[in-house]
Amino acid sequence: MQRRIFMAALAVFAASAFGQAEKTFDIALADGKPEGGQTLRVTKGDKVVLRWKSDRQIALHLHGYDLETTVPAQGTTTMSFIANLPGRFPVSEHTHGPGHHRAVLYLEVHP
Amino acid sequence: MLALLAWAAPAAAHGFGQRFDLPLPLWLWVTGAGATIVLSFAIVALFVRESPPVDTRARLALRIPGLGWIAGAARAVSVALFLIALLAGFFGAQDPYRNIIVTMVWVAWWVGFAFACALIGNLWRPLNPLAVLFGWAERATRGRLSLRLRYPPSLGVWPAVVLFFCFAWAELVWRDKDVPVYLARTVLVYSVLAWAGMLAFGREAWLERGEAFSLAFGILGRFGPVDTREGALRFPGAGLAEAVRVPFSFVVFVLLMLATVTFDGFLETPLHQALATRVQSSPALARLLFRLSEFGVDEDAIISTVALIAFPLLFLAAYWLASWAMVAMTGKSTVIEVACAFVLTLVPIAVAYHLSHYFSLLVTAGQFIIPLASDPFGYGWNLFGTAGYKVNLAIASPYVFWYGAVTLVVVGHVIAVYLAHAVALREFGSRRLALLSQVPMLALMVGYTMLSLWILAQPIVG
Repeated sequence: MQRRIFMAALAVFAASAFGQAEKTFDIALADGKPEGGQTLRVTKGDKVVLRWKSDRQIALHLHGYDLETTVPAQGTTTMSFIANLPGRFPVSEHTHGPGHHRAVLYLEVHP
Repeated sequence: MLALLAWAAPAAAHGFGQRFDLPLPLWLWVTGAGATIVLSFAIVALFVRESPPVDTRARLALRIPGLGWIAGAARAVSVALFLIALLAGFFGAQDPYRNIIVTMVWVAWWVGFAFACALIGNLWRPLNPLAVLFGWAERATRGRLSLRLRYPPSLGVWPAVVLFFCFAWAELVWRDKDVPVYLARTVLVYSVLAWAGMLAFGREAWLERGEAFSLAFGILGRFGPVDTREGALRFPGAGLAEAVRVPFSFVVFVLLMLATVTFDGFLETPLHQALATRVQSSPALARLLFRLSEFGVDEDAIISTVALIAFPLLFLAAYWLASWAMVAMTGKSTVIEVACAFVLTLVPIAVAYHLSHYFSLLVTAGQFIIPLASDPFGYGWNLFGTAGYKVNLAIASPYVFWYGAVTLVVVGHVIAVYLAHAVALREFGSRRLALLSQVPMLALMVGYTMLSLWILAQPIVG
């Protein structure tokens, strides 16, 4: 237990030493649309945690970082990664069949 | 296994929207806008006292040994790439990431080749594979390959206007533009049309008036420092100040081209999305759209198509107003003559915006050409050992985009204002009239540049 607390403290120390912050977002989707804002802003190097919650089953894809997750109906899933690539990246819903789909939301990684 | 397949197909359908540029920060946008206005007045002040210090007619003849051989080889490569793209589209794998035609047409050619023309000169004139193939066929038949019909002068460049509009629609609205076989069919249909035009009216006549890309790359190429017709060097942008008499249809072509370049960016702004949503939520329009969608037309496509028609008409109206004001200020010339004389001076603003808007796409999506060169058909080949290359998205740094975009837009604006003054001196004779005439033109150019900067500062929604 003590060892674990020590490690956690070390991680926080390391994170602050490298200008790295942990950014956690709780995103609730209602029929594929976020209830809050449509753009998440982080700084390059941040440790980002996206906690998805959805009223229906939805398959999500974060472009650029190429992360995928399928949120079950009324369930939650998590995407976590180090935001080391600057730019603006859409998170889109994967549906069957061709066609263009509007992004669910956008992640902006500022330099 | 089935689930895996279901995953693979939609992943491909997303096209190239992997990473977007971050919008310009507010302070940079304001700096760019301020610089645009300050430099505009600096150029006006420059012209108050003196004649233009840059001679737009100056040419330096280029002598490159073996140019004939190099051009011949480049033509052969151009034809080979054209045929490989078509074959890949028809017979290759239908995943857009694994078939070379999609990257070749939309990234390497329409963005990359356009960049090359704007920064070097009209390279489409010597390399156009459609013209080269027709030329070979002409030689094989000893020049009997033309019906030699007289091209009706009243037709102007209207065929090119119509064809370019169709192309712009395909680029900006068409949903299946990334499906290799559809894209290949479209390229083939266009090629057959172009060959039919050359067959009917002669090669040169059709290339000058009906072949949309000869006109488009010709206009971009006028910005470049190399005059590929005469084989000479000139000042960048000088080709746009040449005293050429163009028909009204050419004015429409230039404005259509400028409008679609800007429209491309506008389509991705939150404002466009808000407008589209507003249209869809108005009961009368929604009913009409629903009626149309019963015929299998997609609602978003209808809205984008209407906007694609409206945008060039707005550009035309704004330009017409400025031309009318120029005539009113000077009391000389007619609106149509002024419109024809000045239209090319707007091109540098569009070139600058085009470079800013597409630079990141070219250096990121353009990398797809590396693995595709080894496996153009998606058959699992590895001709050059590069088939496993992974695209590096980190290559497009936000700082390079931000500072590069603002610098380009401001420089493009300065060149445009300078050229317009040079043309005004030629058209209106006296320095006083030239300065007067440039008040409305300057207002138009500042507005146009601000629109470019505003779009670059919008968060991209796709």
